[in-house]
Amino acid sequence: MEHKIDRISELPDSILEHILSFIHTKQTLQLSILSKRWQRVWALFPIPDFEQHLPNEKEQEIQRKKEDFRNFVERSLLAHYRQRLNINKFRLHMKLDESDYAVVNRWIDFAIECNVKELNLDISLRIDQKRYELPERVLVANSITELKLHMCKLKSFSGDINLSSLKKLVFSVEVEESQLVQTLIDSCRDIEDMTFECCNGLKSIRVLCLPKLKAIALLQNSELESVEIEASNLESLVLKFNSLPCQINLGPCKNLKTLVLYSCRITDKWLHDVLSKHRLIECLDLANCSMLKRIKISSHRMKSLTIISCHNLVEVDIVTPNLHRLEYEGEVISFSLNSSSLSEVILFFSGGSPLNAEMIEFLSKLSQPKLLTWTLGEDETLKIAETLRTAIPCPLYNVKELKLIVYSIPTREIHEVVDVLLWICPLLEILFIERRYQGTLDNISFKFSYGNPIYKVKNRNCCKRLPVLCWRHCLKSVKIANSKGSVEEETLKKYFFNNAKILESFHYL
Amino acid sequence: MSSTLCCSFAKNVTLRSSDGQTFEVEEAAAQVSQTIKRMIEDGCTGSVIPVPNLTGPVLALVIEYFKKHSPPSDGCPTALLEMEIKDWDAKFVAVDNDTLLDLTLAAHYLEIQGLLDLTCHRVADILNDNSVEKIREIFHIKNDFTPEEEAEERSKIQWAFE
Repeated sequence: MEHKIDRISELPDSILEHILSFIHTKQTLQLSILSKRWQRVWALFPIPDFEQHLPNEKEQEIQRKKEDFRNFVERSLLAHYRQRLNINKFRLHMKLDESDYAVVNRWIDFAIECNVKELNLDISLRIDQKRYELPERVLVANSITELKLHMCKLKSFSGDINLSSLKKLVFSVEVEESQLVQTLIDSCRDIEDMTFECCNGLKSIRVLCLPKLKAIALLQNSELESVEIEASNLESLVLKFNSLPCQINLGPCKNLKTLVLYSCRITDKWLHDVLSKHRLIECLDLANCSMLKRIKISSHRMKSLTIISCHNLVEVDIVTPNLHRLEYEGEVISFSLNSSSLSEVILFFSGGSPLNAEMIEFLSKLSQPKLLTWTLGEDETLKIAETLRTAIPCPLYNVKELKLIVYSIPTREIHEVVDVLLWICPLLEILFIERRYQGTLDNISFKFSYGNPIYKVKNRNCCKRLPVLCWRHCLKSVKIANSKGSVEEETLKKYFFNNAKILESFHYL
Repeated sequence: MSSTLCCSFAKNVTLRSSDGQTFEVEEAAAQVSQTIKRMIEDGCTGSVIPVPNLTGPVLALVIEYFKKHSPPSDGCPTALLEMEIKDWDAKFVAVDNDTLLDLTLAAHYLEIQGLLDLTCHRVADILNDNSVEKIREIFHIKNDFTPEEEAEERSKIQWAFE
């Protein structure tokens, strides 16, 4: 053993730090006793999060563990402080008693003295409903580039805020005075990214003249009444509201590429105006916007479009030649889509009726994507009346890959399901069916390959309305992975050999 | 866009390891490495690109990785393809520890973020699954604490393991 070289300890600090980042912080502690080298590497690493104790633990035990934890963090911070080491990150997630206030404030002081760059505090009081009040010092710590605050409370502050290095801000705090947040935003000239989530007390936000701002997310701030945004370099805007109506003024943000609107009380006209003023939008998500009735989108830039649960929607008209990805969840509605480069569609119809003519028409309007992911709540949808099969052409003959996710107990044999799916997509190359129900998750996948079709077909009832021949005339090989037992395997084998006229090989993997 | 596509079609580059072995690989695949990408952009393509930090066998493995992770020619990777790659990745790093550390360093030198994440995660799993004594044995780490020092260090972190 003696001659073996210890290579792992020779790795550069940055790699060891990267490795540690995949390990639970508590577990990294034990690595600090491997050797002195590891102890040093560990010391460069952020302070571990304090684990929450189990509620049924004895109070005495909790106090003792807290005492140990306090000593530990204190020692670690002091080591940095004494050696004049900078601290890159200081993350503290803990529940305190009011008696811990002074200690925690001292830690934050240490971190600021050590020019902390990323300060991440998730501090709440253990018993009381009161909030931990953020020390004022944090608001003048100009070394901080990234500030994340959860659970704390932001008191009013009379001094001048100085967070001049701040680039990223994530606030999930209680705000005593909405104006303070406004002053803070206005003073951060270099800010690039900000998120406000569940900030009680935040009533209005005005973002003007922040030239470096690229992303804003305003999420479920229950008292937010007015939002005004005008930022020339803003690329991403995410708005998610609760039920309270909120005034949204979106001035020119000429570089806006991503717009996400969740539960926003916006009208057809509002959306239309915004889209016509922001022609660079590539990614648009609309969810739960129940005032929308008719959506009309015409854009050459749009690449990804998501429409989820907009319950009053009756009509969607999309002219987006460069759309790559479409996600739709809702009722079967009047739908038109003009897009030549669609590669992926994700679909979820609400309701559980069998496939009907309207649904098939909807499917046929999906511009034939290469990949379709289809989620169903009921097995029922995978039924189709024999009369429909012959009356309507198969809707998705260019789809190559179908991923079906069914949230229900299987009520029908797998070959019956496959039969319907191969009617909908008659030239599939890959079929993946996943079932999720009652905590179980199982899947089966099929790989199909095709040979030259036999063109002299006499009886082509199965696909007479298609410009191409369906799988029955050209399927050459089938490979199946994850089948469930030999009975299912035999039925599938019989089904494929009975229906595919030139099938040569059939394998289970 | 179309002109780059046409020019880069099946264009190859040659990479040379520290021990002089050469490998040919598609330019698009080799650009999974940010370091190589920069060299190609600086016009190193005509000649052989030296990779002095990697031995032949390691470079051969890295090239396997390039091939699997080169951007698909027809645009978007699909969900199934991603799953397949994930499986492949897991098998790719199920190697002996020496090779694993070789790959980690290679990913670091060649700036292959995906491979670096993959290998570091694998090393992390090994560290996570074993006791201090076992880790020292696996990676031949010499314990340079005196028994007294080690006992003291252990007592400092005891709170986390109760």
